[in-house]
Amino acid sequence: MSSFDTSNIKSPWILHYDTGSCNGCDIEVLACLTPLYDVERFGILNVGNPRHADILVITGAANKRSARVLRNLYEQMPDPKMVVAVGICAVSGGVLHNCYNVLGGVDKVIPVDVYVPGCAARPEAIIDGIVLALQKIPEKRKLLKSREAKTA
Amino acid sequence: MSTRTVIPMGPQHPVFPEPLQLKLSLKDEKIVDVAPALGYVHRGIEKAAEKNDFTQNVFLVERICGICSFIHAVCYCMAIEDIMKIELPPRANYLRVIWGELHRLHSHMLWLGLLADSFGFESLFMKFWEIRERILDILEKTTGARVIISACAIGGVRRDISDEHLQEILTVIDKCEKELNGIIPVVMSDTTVKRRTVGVGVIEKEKAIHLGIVGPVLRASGIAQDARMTGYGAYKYLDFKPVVEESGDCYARAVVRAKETYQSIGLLRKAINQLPSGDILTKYKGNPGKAAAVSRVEQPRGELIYYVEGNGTKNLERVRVRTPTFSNVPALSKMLPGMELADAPVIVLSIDPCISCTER
Amino acid sequence: MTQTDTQPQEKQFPVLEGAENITIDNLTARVKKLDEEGYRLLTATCLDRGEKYEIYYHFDKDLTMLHLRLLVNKEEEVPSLSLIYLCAFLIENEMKELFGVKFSGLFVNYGGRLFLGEDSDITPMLKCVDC
Repeated sequence: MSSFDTSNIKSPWILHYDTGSCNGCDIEVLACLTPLYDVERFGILNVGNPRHADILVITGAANKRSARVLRNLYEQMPDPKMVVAVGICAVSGGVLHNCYNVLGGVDKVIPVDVYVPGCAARPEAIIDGIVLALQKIPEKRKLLKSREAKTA
Repeated sequence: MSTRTVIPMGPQHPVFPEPLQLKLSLKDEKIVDVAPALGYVHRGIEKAAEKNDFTQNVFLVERICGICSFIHAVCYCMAIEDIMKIELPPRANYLRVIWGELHRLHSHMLWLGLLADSFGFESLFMKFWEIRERILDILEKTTGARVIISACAIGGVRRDISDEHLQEILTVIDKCEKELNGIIPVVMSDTTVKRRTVGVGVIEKEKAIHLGIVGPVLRASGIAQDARMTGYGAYKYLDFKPVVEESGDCYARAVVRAKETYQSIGLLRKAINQLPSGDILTKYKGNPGKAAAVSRVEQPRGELIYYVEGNGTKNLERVRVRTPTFSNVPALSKMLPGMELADAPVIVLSIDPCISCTER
Repeated sequence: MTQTDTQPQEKQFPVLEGAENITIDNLTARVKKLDEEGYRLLTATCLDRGEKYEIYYHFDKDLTMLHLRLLVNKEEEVPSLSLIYLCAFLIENEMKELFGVKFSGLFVNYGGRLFLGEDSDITPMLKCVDC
């Protein structure tokens, strides 16, 4: 394992994007970073640049305009990128399922690795979801390597 | 020769928790023009509210905004109660005020923290959010959820607050007040805060009405306008006086919100001390008739207006939501020009933008 | 789910209590007068009434609300209020996009793409028979 591989599990950087959420999950994601839950002490940082990020945290159901932005952000992130869908809207559309501008869950737009249900998802649940995503990183890295070998 | 540069700020930007895009036209470092682009959070809740049962809508409108969700539900329920002529038990009115003020308290602390974050004052941001958690703990204790509490129902509220919990609220807000006394002076008088906010993004009193601004932004421009002055719910018994500042800049907006946190604490104490006993929910029968009603309440961000029209069935004919940020966004086109690019995040945050409210 | 309003012309619609009726011709003059009196434009509500649009303009002064009620045919152009109240441009753009109301003299024109994406359906808020 290279030092890059360990550091991206030990200190993952997070990119948060709201695709059409009510704000409830957004503030809970932010609450994870503030003193009571304080995930920063574990080296988990919130960054603004997708090129620095390891984990994409998405809140809210995807709509037509934000789907394009979301796809852009996802493509700009370096591999192995993990996607965590936070809140029931990001999982399946939830209470907004019958709104005309809602496409549904985020998985309609990009592949999702971890689903965190809840309305709004609690900070404990969000942290749990991110830890689960971290556990899945080695598996995903292996998958990517085998895919690379095949194309080579 | 300087030429114009257009910088798109957003939709993904570290300062905004939500996607808002501003196309800023710059001449050197100065902003000359701004065009807001919306639509990244538009869902179509107004239409969905026509498809749903009117009782289900209480839960739908709460999801318009997660920060002031309870107040959205109160406004919707007030409109339905107006159409169906439902009288509320007095205790329910007071409980609505208590939860509403708790929401305002945590929303204002959240905003004061985000403002500090927007000019890079990280420790102040963390401090405000630490105190805010105590309010969320009360919300969780009294209703079972942290942000979207679903405690409001047509005809009253769905849960009662026990005497034990009321006492606890009083002790927690006392504690919050003590802690706020330690950090609110930083917002009010610290040089670093003042350098970034005084004289930035000014809206004069004369222009304020034509720009349609509402809430703390309007009150910071010297106009005493607050929907709580209409005395809806139990506010008529609480002797409410709005907080007004004169200078109309970002600093005044911060001061208005800082003073309003203390005001909310005062209102909470009064409401808890006067809380009458009795029922919390009026039973009703049937569907909203063929009538329309307009209701308005004060959100942390300003005045919230609902237009609800029934048609005799369980579905509603129309639900129109006018949220405070929707009225405050046009003002950005007057606040930003002439300012430095580095001031843009502070100015945009000073209206407390809630994009999920704006676009519904 | 079936909508009940398949025959809108037979249906009686409620009128907001205390609303003042206006027409396209005297809308601008009336609003100018309200502006001089110091009224604040709160918002406007658009309703789909089959052949017509019903638009309510809500004003406020000293905590009393005033509602203007305007009935227009769907093809008719409504004069924009954005030159009197700047804040009206967002409200009118929203109505234009979600209902298809035509406005003349709109201060900032989003071209019917304020909220919706470039490939979305237009005027989603209109009542439709089969949805």
